[in-house]
Amino acid sequence: MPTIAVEISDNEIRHVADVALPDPPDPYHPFGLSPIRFSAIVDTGSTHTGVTQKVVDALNAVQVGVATVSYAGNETVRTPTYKMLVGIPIIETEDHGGTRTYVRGESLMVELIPDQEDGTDIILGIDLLQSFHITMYESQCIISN
Amino acid sequence: MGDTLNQAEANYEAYLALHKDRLENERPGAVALMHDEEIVEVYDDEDDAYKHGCDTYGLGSFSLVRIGEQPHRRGRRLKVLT
Repeated sequence: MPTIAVEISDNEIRHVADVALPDPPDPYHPFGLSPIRFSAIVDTGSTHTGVTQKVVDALNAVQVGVATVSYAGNETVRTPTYKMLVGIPIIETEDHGGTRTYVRGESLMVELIPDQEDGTDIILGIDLLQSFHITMYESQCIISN
Repeated sequence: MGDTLNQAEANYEAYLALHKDRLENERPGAVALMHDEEIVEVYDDEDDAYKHGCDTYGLGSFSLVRIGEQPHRRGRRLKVLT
């Protein structure tokens, strides 16, 4: 089973995520020919995956809906949503002289989040994480397909 | 309706005002495809609704609403988008 172990640092699980627009559908390149990689953080307290404006601009994504988001202080705001493929790179192998990346992910309706002071571009929420086997043990987050 | 933000926002306002109560009784959990503030069709699958919207109206000229969706929760401390 493809697996990656991510170090838990300062009680945070930081990794990367690949994103692409869902069109055109291509079973041989489900994440598009050129998915774009961004910094990401695993957030098991978030019900949905969110992206910053930087991600939206990089993909030229177009708004598809509106989400209502409740923040910790019980403040509720509306935010645009976008249809995107979001995946977590699970394993990278050397193959025929190049690096081959195995990415597992989902087609999601992601919501726009404010720019983050720590530079995080994507919040990985439960809507994506529920597709993975995830174990946290001895300061490592082990993510498997 | 050329402004994509206005299309999605206007559709959402129309959904709340005209369709929410009925659809939450009839099709909770389904996805409504909306165009120019009207419900075009209701789908069980979000990807099917998105594809139909793209094929029929083009990106930016339709929106999707998850019927009966509760507010998303943010666990991480974030700045609030205003």
